Amino acid sequence: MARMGKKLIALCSTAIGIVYSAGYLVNQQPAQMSASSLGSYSTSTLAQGLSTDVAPSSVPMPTETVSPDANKTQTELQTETQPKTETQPKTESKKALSSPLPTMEVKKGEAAPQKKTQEAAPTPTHTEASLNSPTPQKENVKGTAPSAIPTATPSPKATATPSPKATEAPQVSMPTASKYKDGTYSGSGTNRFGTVEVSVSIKKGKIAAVVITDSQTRYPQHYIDSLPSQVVEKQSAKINTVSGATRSSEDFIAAVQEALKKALA
Amino acid sequence: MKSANNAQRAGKKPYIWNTPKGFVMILLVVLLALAGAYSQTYRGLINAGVSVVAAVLIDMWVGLMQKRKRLFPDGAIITGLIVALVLSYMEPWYIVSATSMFAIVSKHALRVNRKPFFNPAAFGLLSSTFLFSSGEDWWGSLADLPLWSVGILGVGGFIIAQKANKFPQVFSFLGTYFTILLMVGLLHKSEVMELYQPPFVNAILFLSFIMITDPPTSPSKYSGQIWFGFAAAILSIVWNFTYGGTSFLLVGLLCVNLLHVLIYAVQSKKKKTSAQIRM
Repeated sequence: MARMGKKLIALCSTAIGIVYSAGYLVNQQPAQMSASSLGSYSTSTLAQGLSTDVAPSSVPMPTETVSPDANKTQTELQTETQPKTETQPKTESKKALSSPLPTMEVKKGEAAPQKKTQEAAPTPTHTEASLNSPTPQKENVKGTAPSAIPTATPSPKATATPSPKATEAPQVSMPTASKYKDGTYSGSGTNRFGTVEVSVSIKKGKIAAVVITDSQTRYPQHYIDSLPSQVVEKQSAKINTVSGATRSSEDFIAAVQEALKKALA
Repeated sequence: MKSANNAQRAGKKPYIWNTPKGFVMILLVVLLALAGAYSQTYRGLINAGVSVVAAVLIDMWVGLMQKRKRLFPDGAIITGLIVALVLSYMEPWYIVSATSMFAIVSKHALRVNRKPFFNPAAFGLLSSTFLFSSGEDWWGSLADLPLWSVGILGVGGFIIAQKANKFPQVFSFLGTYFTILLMVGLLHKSEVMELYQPPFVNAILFLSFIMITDPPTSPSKYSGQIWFGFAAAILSIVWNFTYGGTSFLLVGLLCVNLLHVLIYAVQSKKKKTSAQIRM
């Protein structure tokens, strides 16, 4: 039987490559536009899309590729991202990068010039912490400082030993359980693989129950069924992601973080 | 392929690793090793072992029943590996083994003129999705590795397409698929950016180079290969836009497998040769 010639194979391969690239560019634009038009959203995928808008030269194409760091637990990353004092410019720029909305109000003294932020932009591989960066809610825009920005409490330990690794991931400061108001709060986490909605019940200032109310991801919900109990056990959204269902886990964590923010006293 | 042809001309049986099946096996093992190492868990490797053993046992049992001369279960090994690499490694072992069993049973039970009419791995995976709500995350297509890993899949896939002489089918599938996505983007009908990125782009390459090129379940003539790839791409995209999920590629492939059999049956009838469908 006849076989395709090498020239024809090369031609077809090139043609498919061109069609793929054209499609990528064409489809990338509406995706970014829709990301920037959203008033409230909650994952780094969208955040990264916006970052790309802000700093197109410094941030290459976003990929869902999770870096080896993403396999680390939240706690591990938290250890790496020890709170920095406000005087550390590198950390500030990372924080700014992790903040999806450019209009977001930032504490005095922390607001770094936008250009400086762009120069310091890291490679856009998703780290666990960046994927779990808290949602900038509407109330944040109105004036409340988002929890992604750490409290101004200076940490002498952090200033004494600044680690270069620590700047790789933005800091996620989670409120402690005792600060929660009783009640039931809902939250949702979205990335391009779908949305997870949760309902978090707070009783006596503690997380009493977490229920996945809706899971519209491309993966079955039973993959993340173990996560609600982890949140109750640890009294925090700092939980391990389920390997093999990283994207659904990220949605879940973002949803719990959003609900816990609403529950803050 | 040349060495395999030379061996055939010389009257010798080509060495297994020189055949398309042999190379597919090598590529799948490489993908398993890379994805398994990157996942930092043994679960994927364990599931792959379970899947291959289940597939091989069923295949050899059927082989003994049919008194086949050649018992080496190369096809079953490939099917088992594909199942393990597509199914999430979070799935329990019994679901993985059941999926492999469905795949091999379909290979032997659903046949036309001694050829299976469904891609065994795709059939097993889709059956498992409907029966156990199992999830495919295509982890073996190196979806969680950095973007450069797509190159390994691409180069390996090219060699497979070359050895199996399935380039028209692959190009037809990929060309149609990405052209439709481009048109969707130009018309602003839907947001399809996710389909250009991992894990979907890896899954598309894995399917087009490793699963669609399966010789028994796809046409051998170039004209047949072109319509096969074209129809598979259209049906996959239609299913994706209608129902979403991660199984749209498998659905597209299985629908075209069915279409292929129907056309084959009609053609056979025209030639007054009755198609023997054993269920």
